[in-house]
Amino acid sequence: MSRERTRFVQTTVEVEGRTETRVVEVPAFEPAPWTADTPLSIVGTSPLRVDAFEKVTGRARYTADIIRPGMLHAVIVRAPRAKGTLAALDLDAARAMPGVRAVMGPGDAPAATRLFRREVSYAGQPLAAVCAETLGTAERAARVIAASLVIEAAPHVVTVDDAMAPDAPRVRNTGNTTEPDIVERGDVTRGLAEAEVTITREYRTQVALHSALETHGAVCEWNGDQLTVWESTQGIFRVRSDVARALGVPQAKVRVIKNYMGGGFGAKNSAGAHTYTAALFARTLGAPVRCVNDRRAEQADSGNRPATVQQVTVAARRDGTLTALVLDALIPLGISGWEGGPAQIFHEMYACPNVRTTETCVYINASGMQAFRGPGYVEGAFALEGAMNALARALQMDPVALRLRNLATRDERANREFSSNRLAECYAEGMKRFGWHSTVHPPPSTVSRVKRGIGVAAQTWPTGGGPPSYAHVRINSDGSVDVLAGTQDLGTGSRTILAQIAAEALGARFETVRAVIGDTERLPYTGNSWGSMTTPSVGPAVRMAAEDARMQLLEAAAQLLDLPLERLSTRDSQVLPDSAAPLPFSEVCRRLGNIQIVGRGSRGPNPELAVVTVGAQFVEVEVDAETGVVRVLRVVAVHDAGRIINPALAESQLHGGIIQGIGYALFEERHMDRARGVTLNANLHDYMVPTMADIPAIDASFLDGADPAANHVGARGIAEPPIIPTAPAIAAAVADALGVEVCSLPLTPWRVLGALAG
Amino acid sequence: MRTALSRLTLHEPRTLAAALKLMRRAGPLVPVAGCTDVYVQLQFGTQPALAYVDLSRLSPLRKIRRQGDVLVIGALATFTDLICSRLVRKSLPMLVAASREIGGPQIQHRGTIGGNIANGSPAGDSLPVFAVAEAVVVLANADGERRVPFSAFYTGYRRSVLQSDELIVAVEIPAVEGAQWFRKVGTRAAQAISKVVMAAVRSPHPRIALGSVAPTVVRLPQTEATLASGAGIAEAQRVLKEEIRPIDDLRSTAAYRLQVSANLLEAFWETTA
Repeated sequence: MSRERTRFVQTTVEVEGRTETRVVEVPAFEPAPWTADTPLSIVGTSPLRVDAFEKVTGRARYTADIIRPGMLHAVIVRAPRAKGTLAALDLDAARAMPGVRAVMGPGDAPAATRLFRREVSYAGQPLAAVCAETLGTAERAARVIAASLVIEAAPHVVTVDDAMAPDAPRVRNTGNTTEPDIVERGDVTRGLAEAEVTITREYRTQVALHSALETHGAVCEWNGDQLTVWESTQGIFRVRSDVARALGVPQAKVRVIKNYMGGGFGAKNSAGAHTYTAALFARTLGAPVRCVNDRRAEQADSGNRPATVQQVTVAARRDGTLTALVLDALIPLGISGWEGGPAQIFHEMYACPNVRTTETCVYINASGMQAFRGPGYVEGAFALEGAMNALARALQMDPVALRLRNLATRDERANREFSSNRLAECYAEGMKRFGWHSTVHPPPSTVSRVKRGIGVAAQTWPTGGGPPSYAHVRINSDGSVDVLAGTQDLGTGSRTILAQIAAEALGARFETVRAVIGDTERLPYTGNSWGSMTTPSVGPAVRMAAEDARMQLLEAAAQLLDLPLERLSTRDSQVLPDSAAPLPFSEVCRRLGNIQIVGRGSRGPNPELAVVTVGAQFVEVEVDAETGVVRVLRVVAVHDAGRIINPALAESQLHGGIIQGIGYALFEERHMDRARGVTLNANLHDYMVPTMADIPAIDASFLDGADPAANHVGARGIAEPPIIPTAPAIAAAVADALGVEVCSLPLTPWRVLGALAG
Repeated sequence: MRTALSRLTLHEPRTLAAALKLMRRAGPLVPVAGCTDVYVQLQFGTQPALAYVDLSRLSPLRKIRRQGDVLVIGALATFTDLICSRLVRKSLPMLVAASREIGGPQIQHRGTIGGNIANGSPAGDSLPVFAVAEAVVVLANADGERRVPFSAFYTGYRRSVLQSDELIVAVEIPAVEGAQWFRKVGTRAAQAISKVVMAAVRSPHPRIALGSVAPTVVRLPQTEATLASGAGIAEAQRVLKEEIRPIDDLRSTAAYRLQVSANLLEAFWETTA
């Protein structure tokens, strides 16, 4: 059999700011792009999210709600100190407790799980685990084991300054820092020399915790050599491959299921200690085992946004034209992590010819970082946008005008064009909605206690998504439709969005379409839901599958009606001949009998273009000069994400990002005890996320339009972008209110008051 | 009550007399009403007690009434009860202001005044109010009642004169002359533990109390005397900064607490002038 077309090509995909080159299959056909002018009737509307009733009535079963017959409960025992060697522990006392079924300690788990090692390198590290008939028994047994731990303590470091000290204890054998990663374009030295105004600042950002309402957790059950894993995860296929590799079983024997999820924010991209613990106990004991983090474990050891120390120089001519951007950053990752640092936004946000960034990662004896909504860009934006606002003040220039003067018109970092970039329109629309030029705020005075200020910041973020992603669309014999895609819904509304895309492409009524997701055994592969990728990755695959199914349906209907194909179309779940009465899908399918229509779709390669979601946020704050307390009064956010599939759900994403951004700006900070190296606020009592009372009026909107050059659905991602500019916009507003800058996050009352006191 | 699922024992007396008998005979027991502190302690593993007595059925203790010039607030009055009470709003508006700042609506619905006093947190939002109002805490045991001035109630960090067989049954508040003032400073708008909390009364003999700056809620007699002597606010602020010794902790710094306390003093003095 000969093949004429190339089935596989190379393409690049950006995940969380990292660019990967992949070999991908070229789809059998690519539907014509839905452009801004394509009339669409379901995509672009806001039907009620399909799982709204289940969620509101409590019927939606999250991973933590999974209860299997005879299920046992596992609890992990964690290191109480930051560094040392586990010299002794007593598992027997716990094993002997009534109701305890098994215990595991050092040496009891396969090496690939990296569980229960004797070398302790951060507080919270799993050292042992216990499995019992009830959660209460397991927790009590875990306390018995914890009380028996003997750790030969070694010196540790949990702050960047301690780790960088000349005689600092070694965190890793290779040292406490990585080789500096220097990325430069143009000639920074010349750029600095050409400058008429130079701003230099040190920005510090804190460790932030994901704090998803649903903690990490898994329920594992073996049936013979088949393992089923219910997991709260952003990537069911990734969990499957992790578990298969760690336990040495074929992927075909592992099934991962995730139905509903209470948030991930980047921390749930792989299998974890809880998964392996549950799977191992379940195999040993021949019973289902549940292992779900309690809040303390979740806050102490499930990932974090690492802190940064950023030395920033922005240099410009008097008219505001940037001549150089320089960043020198330290990033204390924890004990491990990937280098998703703050540098990249410095290369992408502005059309500056001379940019140099230096990133040095630092290892400390603390739980390792994980991607956290807009990783790197959030931290980088606080510094870059803060410095841009400082530059605007120094130049006495409107901060929006300064940004427009330096607007990126192409992706300078990767030297390519944008598929679309309408940031200038976002500024214009945001200024209009905010009343940027008409907002009257009193000038700083020493008399009035409460001062008001306004601020702005912007963002860019790669949101093109990409292959591989596969989907099937199945038309049932009654004309109803199943969309099958092995993706997952973190709470964003993927089920609803994919059903909308399929219904639109098929010409089916939305109510007749159901999206089935979250099961590795029954559904075709899609990648992790990270990097704001799900809609632009899975959406086109679903559309293609639906178009394929529609063609099959029309071809069958053409036979049934004895009409040429081109005289048929579809709408409202009906086949519409141009000259005869409409024929409902159900009737076509009934006449076809058990002929199954299954459309197949895959996500095609990416264009050689930068695909980014951009936006600007405008903020007004009130600062109590007596107490330093900052209140955000209103936020106007305008983002451009190409085509918006479901405006209500997309707007919710903006609200969520902005609220999380307010927490990052004002409240959230992991505190560690320097002496003992433990997390002091591993709870939601002392680690403070915003309450409803802290959430201001939020006016969140999108530009109308589509991005057909990005993919044929015309949609880009939206999940991460809205958190990126919130903190720098708030900081700018605080600086505007007080006349002094606060360059460290969070903007706690004591920092603000300290800045006021000079 | 004892269930298969819980190792905790919960007594549920229907009368105060029965409760006091239990306190003496079945003790030591931890009394609970709204449970807003005890639940947190249980969750954090800082509450070791296994036996509890539920006071929530003792509805007579929820009453708020006037007795001559004295406002008598039952220990089981919730913060929502205080916010809604005409008597409290009229005679002790600073307690209404404090009640509105406690936790959020859910905490205000469940949390009780007796619990706030018994918990004895230095950050307890209502406590500075009782300190400046010169309240009297009414304690009862199976033998009878005794009255302890609020200023003598606490003996140290989360320690008080309350005996193991006693319950707080009421707080008596004599008439307060002068303008009342209350301010809580927390990081976020709700569910925030105070960084600094101040209650004050403006009269020829000003009264000032601060929370979150010492192991217990404190009155500031020297600062009060300075203000009473007619010295300027700047002098009073200087005295205040000598008079308290706050600490650094998770929620704030000592320097911040000192400065904000002084700022609040000025705000009190200006707004009640």
